[in-house]
Amino acid sequence: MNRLGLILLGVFYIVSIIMVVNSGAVGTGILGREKRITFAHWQLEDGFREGYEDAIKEYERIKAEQGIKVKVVQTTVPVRGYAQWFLTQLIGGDCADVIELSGNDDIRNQYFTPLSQYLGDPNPYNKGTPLEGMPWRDTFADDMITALSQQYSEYFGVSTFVMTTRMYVNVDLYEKAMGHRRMPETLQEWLDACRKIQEYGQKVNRPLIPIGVRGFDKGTIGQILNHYNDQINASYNDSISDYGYGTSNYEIYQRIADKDPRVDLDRFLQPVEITTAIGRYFAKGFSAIDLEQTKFLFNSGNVAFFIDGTWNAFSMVNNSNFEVDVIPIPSIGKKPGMISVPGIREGAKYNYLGRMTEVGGGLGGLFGIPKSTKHPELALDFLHFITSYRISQLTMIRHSKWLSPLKKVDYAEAFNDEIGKMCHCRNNSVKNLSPAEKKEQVGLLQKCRPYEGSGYSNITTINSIGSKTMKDNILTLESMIIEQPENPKQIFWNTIVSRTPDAIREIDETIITEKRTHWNNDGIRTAFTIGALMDKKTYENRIRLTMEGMVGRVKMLDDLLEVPSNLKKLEEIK
Amino acid sequence: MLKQIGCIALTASALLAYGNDMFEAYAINNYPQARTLAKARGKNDPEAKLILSLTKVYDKSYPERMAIEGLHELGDYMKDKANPARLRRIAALSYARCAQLMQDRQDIYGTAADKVNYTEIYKQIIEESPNSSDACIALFYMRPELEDISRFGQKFQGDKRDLVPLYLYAANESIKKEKNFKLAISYLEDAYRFGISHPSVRQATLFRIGFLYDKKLNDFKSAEKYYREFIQKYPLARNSRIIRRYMKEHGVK
Repeated sequence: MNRLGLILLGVFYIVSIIMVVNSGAVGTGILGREKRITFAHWQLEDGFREGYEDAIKEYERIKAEQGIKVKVVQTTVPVRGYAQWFLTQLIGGDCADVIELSGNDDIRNQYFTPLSQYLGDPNPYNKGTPLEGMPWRDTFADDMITALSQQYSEYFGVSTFVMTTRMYVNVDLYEKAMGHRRMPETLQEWLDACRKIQEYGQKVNRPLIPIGVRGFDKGTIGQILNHYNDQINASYNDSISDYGYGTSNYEIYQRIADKDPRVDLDRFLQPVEITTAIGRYFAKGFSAIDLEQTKFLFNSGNVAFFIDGTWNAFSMVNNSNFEVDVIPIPSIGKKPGMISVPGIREGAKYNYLGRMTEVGGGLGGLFGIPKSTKHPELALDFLHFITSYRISQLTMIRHSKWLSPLKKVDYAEAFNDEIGKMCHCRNNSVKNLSPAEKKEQVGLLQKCRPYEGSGYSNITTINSIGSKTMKDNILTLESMIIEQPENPKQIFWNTIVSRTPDAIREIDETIITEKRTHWNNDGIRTAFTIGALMDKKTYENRIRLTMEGMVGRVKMLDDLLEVPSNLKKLEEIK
Repeated sequence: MLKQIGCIALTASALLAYGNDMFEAYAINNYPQARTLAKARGKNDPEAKLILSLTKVYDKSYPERMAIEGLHELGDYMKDKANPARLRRIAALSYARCAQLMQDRQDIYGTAADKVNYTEIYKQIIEESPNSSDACIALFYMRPELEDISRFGQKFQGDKRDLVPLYLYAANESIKKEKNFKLAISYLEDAYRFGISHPSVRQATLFRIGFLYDKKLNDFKSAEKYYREFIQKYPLARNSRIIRRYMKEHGVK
C-alpha cells in the first residue's frame, strides 16, 4: 500500500512538474520547439475573451502554416485588481508578452517597448483589405493621437476598441407606460416619458424607477450635465479663446471675471437647471446606488432608462428578459434653435446647437509589449494581427459587439462567412447567425457608432475647477436634485463662488505640479539628448517632439498663474 | 584584499555585461540602472561622471539636497575643459535649466541656485553653437522677446525643424502680448512649413492656422486653403467635421 502511495506520489510529482513547465510563462513549450506568448487584459465583458480565443486559434494556424509553432495563452484579471497585478508583473520581470496598458506614462516608458519605430510601416495582416499598404498608425481612426504619450512623446500601445455613451431602454416597460414604442428624441419627450412611467408604476403598484443612476460615483449626474452643457455651450469653443478653437475653464472664468459681454453666465448654468429637473426621476436614495446595483435593477425590469458606455450594450441586450433598445441620450430639440422645454420650468428656453460630433474620439483598450518579453518579434507580430482589419471585425464586432478603432469599418461584413469561418467557439449566436439575427446585431452596432453630429465638440462645464472642488460642486448638484430648490442656477453659482478659496488652494497645488512637470520634461529632453549620442535620428526626433509639447506646457503654466486673481473677482448672483 | 578583488570583478563584469548600456538606460529614464552602470565605470570616466550628476538633478526619488549637489557638479563639469565638448554642452544646458527651475522654487531650494546666471549660460550656448538644436532650446528656455526669435530664426542655418518650438511659442506670445493674430499666423505658417514632428501638434497647428484666419481675421479665403488641406489629410478627425460646419456657414461645399 505504502509502495503504491509512493508510486502515485512520484507520478503526480512528475505530472505537476510537466504542467508547471508547460503552462508557465517560460517562453517555450515543454519540448522547446513551441514558442509561447501570453496575452493579458481585464476585459471580462461578454464576447471579448471568446473573440480573442478565436483570433488566437487563427493566429496559431497561420503561424503553423509558416512553419512556426506558436502557442498564445490568454489571461484575464478583473479590473479591480488589475492595476496592482499589472505593476507586480512588470516589476517581477515575468510579464505577459502583449498586455493591456494600465498605470501612468512613467511606468509605460520604463517597462514598455516604444512603438514609434514600427508605426510607419504597413500592418502585414491588412493585406487584401481596405487598409492594405497604409502605415500602421494611419489605420486607426484618430491617427493614434489618443495613444501618444504626451509626456514621453512616444507610443507604448495601440488601441483595440472605441466606446461611446448611450441610453438603454426597457422597451416592454416603456410600451406599457406610454402605449407606443416610439422612443423619446427630445428632452421634453424624455421628461414626459419619465412622468408617465412614474404614474404607471403607481397605477400597477410597482416601485418603478424612470432613470437608473450610477449615483455612488456620481457618474450619471456628470454624464447628463456634460451632455446638455455641450448642446447649449459648445459654440463658445469658436469664440472664447484668442489662441484657437476650444476653450479651457480658466479662460471661461477669466471672461466672467472681466464681465466680458460675449459670455453669458446664465447660459453656462442652464445645464445645471436641466440636470436638477431630470433628477426628479431618479430613484429615492440614488446617491448610494452603484453601477452593479443599477444594472441589476435594470435587468430585473424595474428601471426604464439607463445611461452607460457602449461596452455594456451587448450584455444589457443579452442579459435582459425583455426587449432593450439603445438610443442616444435625448437632445434638447430636434433641430438647432431656441427650444422651449416647459418640463424643466415654465418658460424655460434653451439655444440648442445640435448633437455633438463623436467621430475621431473614444478610442481605448491600449495593448503594448513589455521590454522583458522573450519574444519581442512574435509579440509585435501578434499586436499587428489583433489590430488588423479582419481580426478587429472578428473580435470586436462579431464577438464583443463593440466598435472597431480602425479607419475603415463595415459592420455587415463582420457577419459574413469569411469572418464566420474563423469562429470556432460554441456560441451559436456568434457562429451561426440567421439573416434576421445578423441584421439585428448590425443594427445594434449602428446605434452605438460615433455620431457625425453637427460639427460641435465637447466643452468644459462651469463647475470644472480643481479636482476636489469640482467633486464638491457635483455634490451641490446632487443635493439640489434631492431638495429640488426653485433657483438651482443661483444656488449652484453662489456655491462655486463661495468655494473660491478652496479652488485657489487647488490651483496653487496645480501650479507646483506644473512646475515639477517642466522639470520632468527637461529630464526627458536630457535623456533623449544622451540617447542621441547613440542613435541620432531616433532621439533627435524625440527631442523635437518633447520640445514641441513643452510649448503647450509653458502656456498652461502662464494661464494657471493668472487664475487665482480671476477667481477672486467672481461675484455672487444676487 | 578579497574586498578589492570583489570590487574589481564587479566592475569588470558590469562593464562586460552592459558595455554602453549606461547611455541606453539613461535614455529611457531608468535612473537607478544608469547610476549603477556609471558607478561601475568609475568617476574618472567623463561619461559616467556626467550621468551621475544628471541623475542627481533629475531623479525625483532623490532628496532636494542631492539635486543641489548635482547642480553644482554640472556647473563644475561644464567649466572643466578636459571634458568632451559635446558632453560639456549637455551639462551646461541642464545646469542652466535646473538652476532656473530651482530659482523658481525657493520654497524648496532656498537660495541654492541664486548665484547661477542661467541667462548668461544660455547665451553662451547660443554663441558657441548657433546652429544647433541646443541653441534653439536655450533660446526657448530664455522666454525670449518676439524680435529675438525673429532675429535668431533668420540667422539660423541648422535643421529648421529645431526652430518649431520657438515659432509656436512666438505665435502664443504674439496673441498674448499684442493680440497680433496676423503675426501669430505667420509664425505658425513657418513652423508648419519647417515640419512639426509631434503628430497632434502638427494636426492642431494646421487647423489653428485656418481657424485664426477665419475667426480672428475674418479672412475665410485664406483659411479655406488650410481647411481643405486638413480635411484631405485627416478626413476622419473630429476637427474635419468642425471645419465642414465652418465651410457650410460660409456657403462653401
